[in-house]
Amino acid sequence: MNKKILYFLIVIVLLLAMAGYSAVTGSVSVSFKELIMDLLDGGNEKAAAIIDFRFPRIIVAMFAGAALSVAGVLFQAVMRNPLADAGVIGISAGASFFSLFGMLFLPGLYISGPFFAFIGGSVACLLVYWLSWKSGLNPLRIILTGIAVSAMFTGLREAMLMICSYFNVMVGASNASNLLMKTWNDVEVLTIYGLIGIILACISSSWCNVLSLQDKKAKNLGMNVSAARISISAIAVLLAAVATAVAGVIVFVGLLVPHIARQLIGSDHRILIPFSALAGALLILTADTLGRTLISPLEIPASTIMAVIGGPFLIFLLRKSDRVHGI
Amino acid sequence: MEFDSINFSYNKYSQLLKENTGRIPKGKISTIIGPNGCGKSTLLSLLSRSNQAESGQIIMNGKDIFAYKPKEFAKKVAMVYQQNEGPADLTVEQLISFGRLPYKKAFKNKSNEDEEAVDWAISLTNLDDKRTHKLEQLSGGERQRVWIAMSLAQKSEMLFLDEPTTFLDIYYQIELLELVRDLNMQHHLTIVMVLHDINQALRYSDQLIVMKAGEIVAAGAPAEIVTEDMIKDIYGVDVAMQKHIQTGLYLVPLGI
Repeated sequence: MNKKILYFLIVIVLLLAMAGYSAVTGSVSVSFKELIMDLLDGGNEKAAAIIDFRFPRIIVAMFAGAALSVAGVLFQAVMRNPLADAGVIGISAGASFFSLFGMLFLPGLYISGPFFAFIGGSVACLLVYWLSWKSGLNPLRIILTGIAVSAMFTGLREAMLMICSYFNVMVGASNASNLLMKTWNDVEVLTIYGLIGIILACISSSWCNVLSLQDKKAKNLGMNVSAARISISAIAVLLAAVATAVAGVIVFVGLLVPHIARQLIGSDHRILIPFSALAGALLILTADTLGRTLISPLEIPASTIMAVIGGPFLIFLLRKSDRVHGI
Repeated sequence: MEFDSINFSYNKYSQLLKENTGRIPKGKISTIIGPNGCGKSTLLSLLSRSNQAESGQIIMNGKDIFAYKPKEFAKKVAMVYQQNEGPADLTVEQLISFGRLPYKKAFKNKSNEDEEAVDWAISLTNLDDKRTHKLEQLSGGERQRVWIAMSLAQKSEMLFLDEPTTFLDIYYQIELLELVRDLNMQHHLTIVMVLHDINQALRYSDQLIVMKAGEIVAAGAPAEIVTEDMIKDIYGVDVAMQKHIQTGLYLVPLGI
């Protein structure tokens, strides 16, 4: 148990350190002292720019990472599949397509982005369930169906972007898969829905634990398995959708973080979920900070970095997956 | 528990269970036997509400089993499967505590009663020294005892076991069946199990339910219903039936 507390402390310290480092480095750089001074009484122009432009980005990166990681844990629990990730199984692609759709046709609605993302994520999730359910969920079939669903929505989204550019409709930077130009509005949307999702996920953690037994045993223990599966999926879709609506599609976070978290602190969801949230925040913040400092002033999007790390990791997981869930 | 003319099929092409009628006497060990695919596990899954019969009725304590709320039913009937899955890194104690789920109230921690039930289940299954071990560190026989302990922690009146000995060697098979008999004799659990080994079924059951092709062909005390002719008829195997001084009836296969 002490070891687990230690891991929590390490991740929290690293997260704070990375947030601090990220705040003071980049194209505009100030010292820590200047930043703190400005936070207290203002007046420093450089520091003010950082607060306006870099802080939202840092917060968005952390919450997107946390939301996607927790969504990954939840999908893995309900699908009984260590490979389920919102990006891999097409939830993010569905959310991304629908949120673009919402932005184009109902731009006036402040909430339209996340709302449509949630609808899109749900549609993708239903498709994956419906197409891969055959008296139970076969892990490999979920992944294959997910890839197909993901490809379909990515294609639709690209087609729509193409049509937009043909008609000279500006879609705007907010729809790209990176963390450029994040505003306090984005922060508000992501933190409110992200926090709601993460809290709901923590509440549902004991259900997730029971779902790691077989369905029939969970049922025999008096659990309403279908209801639990639907509600946990909905929470996961909410988290993945809101992260996608604000930060774009970032794949593999929900795969990498829960896997490492399980190795470190075990598969009890009551601690796995909060730990994954922290570790996911750390991972995406690190990826984004690296992305904008490595070859500054050019930027590599965090999603690109994640794809480069995540691809090989997925192959590694696939190769050992027969051993992951069998007893 | 009584069941009356229940029918069931997984698809519309073949009728798996046909008009099954029978009863499970309280406080006894009933064993369902029959050849592969005769529907014995399916019958057990219907009695435990894992599947729902298409027609017919299953009555427990004077009430249709589907009239119970899920948690109420979980306090009456616990089930152990042939193969079970769980997270490899959970400890024996954590896994067994899952059996307390039917008693859990939202936002409440473990009660004394929960702890007592878990301790009771652990000591009955002889897992005291394995309490803090992880599932992955246990042998096959120990794992099966963990699943039984989880079901015991449910503190149910009835315990169902679906081919619980299939993947165990003979030592663990006997150990498990002795445990089942103990639970029945000392703790008055009503046991319903599916077994493949006819000799084990003969030795450990008060009542046999013999099935063939989805129908119950005989039910009753082993000594009253099992004959050489019946085994030939059900399994197509010629057997010699003998009586051993210590263990009672047993069968020796002669040929097919």
